Amino acid sequence: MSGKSKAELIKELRDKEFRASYVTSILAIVRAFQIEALRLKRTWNQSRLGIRSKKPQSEISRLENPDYVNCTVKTLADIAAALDVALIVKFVPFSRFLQEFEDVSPEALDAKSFSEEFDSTPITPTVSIGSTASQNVVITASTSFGQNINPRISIAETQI
Amino acid sequence: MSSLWTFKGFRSEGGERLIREWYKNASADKKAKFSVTMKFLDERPQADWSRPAQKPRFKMLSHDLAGYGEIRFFADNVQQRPIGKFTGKNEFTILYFAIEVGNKLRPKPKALRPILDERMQLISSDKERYTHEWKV
Repeated sequence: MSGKSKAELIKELRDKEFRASYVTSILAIVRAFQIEALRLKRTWNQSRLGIRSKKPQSEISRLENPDYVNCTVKTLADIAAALDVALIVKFVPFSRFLQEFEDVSPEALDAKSFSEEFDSTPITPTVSIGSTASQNVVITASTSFGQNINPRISIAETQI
Repeated sequence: MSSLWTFKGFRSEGGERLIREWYKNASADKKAKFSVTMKFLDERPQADWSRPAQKPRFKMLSHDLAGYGEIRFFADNVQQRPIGKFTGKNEFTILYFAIEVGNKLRPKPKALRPILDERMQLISSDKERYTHEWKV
């Protein structure tokens, strides 16, 4: 099997032109692969993602082209919002960059949506029972994330 | 890193290693784009090589070049088209570095076919002698 060592790659990155091109290229190809893969995972076509992100289909098509490099952070943020995933844009040292993109397999580039990540988390309800001044029993419930939820008890308020 | 492939290049009778020579003489932009493209292919099964569908990084060829496939990337404002063949399980061998100008392959497919066939014939006769490995 293949496998260029990190030392060999770092040697090539000593060329400023090479490293600028390497970074641009890997970001563009990752963006194109991820947008297409995340869109297909939702069984959306480019037009559907366009509608969700308020962009023409032609722009989605451009974003899925790994040779296209002229996109803005705002555009990527809009696409991320439409796909319900987060986006990271920050300056980092090369060592961090190499670490981040060491694995670019389809599995490594998958990103769960917010609901995939959190809505499937088992809810651990906390139920408390108290009484009000009018002697009504009040049942409140919250999830393990602290969200208040409606308790599925039909006698939520019972006159004592 | 999940490397799935072995990439090879044609080695001439005189011992010249195709990918190594091309890479040595390539611009920084070509080197970087080639490295990134090969890294992506390396970490995907063949079924995913035709992604993203908008501009796939690999395409099987037809007509005059049926049986061969081209790796596709854009560098130095030119569409780069390293052409090769699957030569084993999870093994791809690059036989020629072509380019595409105005949607036309250079050299022309009819001229390229005999070169590719001749190189493949040599590889079939002695794979070890006529190929060299390229680490992605």
